[in-house]
Amino acid sequence: MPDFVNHIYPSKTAVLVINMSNGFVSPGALNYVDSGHRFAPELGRFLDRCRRQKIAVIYAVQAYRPDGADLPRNIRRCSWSRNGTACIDGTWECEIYEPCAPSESDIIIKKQHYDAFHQTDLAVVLQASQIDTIAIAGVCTDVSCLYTARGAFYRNYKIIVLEDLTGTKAWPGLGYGSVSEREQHLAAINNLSATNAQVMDSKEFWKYIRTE
Amino acid sequence: MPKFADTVDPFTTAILIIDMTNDFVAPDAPDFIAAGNQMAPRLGKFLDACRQKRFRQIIFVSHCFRPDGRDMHFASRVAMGIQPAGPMELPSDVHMEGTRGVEIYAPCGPKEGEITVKKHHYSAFDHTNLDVILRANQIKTVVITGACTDCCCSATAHDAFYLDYDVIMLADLNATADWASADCGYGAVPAETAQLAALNSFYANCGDVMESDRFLELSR
Repeated sequence: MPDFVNHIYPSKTAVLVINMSNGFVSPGALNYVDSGHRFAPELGRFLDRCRRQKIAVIYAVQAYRPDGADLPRNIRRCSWSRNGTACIDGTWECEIYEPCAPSESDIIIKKQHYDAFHQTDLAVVLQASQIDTIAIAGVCTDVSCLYTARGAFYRNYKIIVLEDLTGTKAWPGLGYGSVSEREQHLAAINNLSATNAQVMDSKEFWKYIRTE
Repeated sequence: MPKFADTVDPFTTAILIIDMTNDFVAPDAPDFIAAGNQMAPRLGKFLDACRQKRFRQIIFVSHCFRPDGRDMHFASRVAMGIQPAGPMELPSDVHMEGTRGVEIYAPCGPKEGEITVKKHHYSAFDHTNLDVILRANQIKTVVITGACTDCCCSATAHDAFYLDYDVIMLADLNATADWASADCGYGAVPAETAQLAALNSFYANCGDVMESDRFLELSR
């Protein structure tokens, strides 16, 4: 895959931070993703630098109304949803984990499915800000990150995936064999690269920055 | 046990066959998926069994672009080394509408009356009329077969999940290739592991995964 992001212009770029909420990456969370917990402090420092460079920071968080009115039937049936009791908006689970917490000027988008573009106002926000490049960080690489990247691809955005600031977990097997956390992450990372996202790590990201 | 129900109703279930086109799975395919080529005769037999069980919606999906490339994504254009906008000379006729390459590979091809939906992106639902067709025919369950497991099959399965269908991926009738997850610098993952990673992830977070024999047993 050739590099199609030659330069990163801060005013046209947003970092999209996916599901770095307590419900997924805080110790004690019922749907704990350890990899996200591990890179959270590094992500926090990366986001601080983005803010100083005037790169938009947008969080996308799994969140459902307390009355369940926006809970998709298919999500309720997933074991992580615990029959619709997980990720209730306004609770601790939906707050961003403190080491990578938002600042006042950041935007938080609530999402109900894995793809942060699916029936949310994320695309409206990006278009209004004339953003054409999005860098994806967060969890899980092979679920919400991968499918948000697909959503961005369908909408013609330039997509960067930050390899060291994304992570997943080893899912319970199907009986066909086990896949480790690292392999599960790498399979998605390699697939993203093969399908038109540009994969880089957070240090490499700064080499592409051009100020207008 | 299946996740959704003890039985599959052929009347409300659609079988999708993703990207089993000549350009992907025929022996001389330019974007060859070897596992897809090997799977094609088995997939053909499975489809015959589905036809016998009176599944009414066996729907083929073919990845293709206009001859002038104007419906091709920005990043795909850059990947092909061609200009970023407007009509253009495509460097080849791979996946070009109207060519033999975008027709379904004969060993698992459509029978009379079965339809093919053209798609331009990974998901068969993105900017296509597939959802309209399924809803018009009262389809509630979508079954995913074809290639590549971790690209178009998973992307289509995810969109079907968002659209409130019950989704089943058939483990033995989805195939992928090494190039779908080629090492981008952080470590290689063999195609078999990538296939498993995609299926495990789908099973944990979305819908059901089962073998085709089991699916046929449940279909009545």
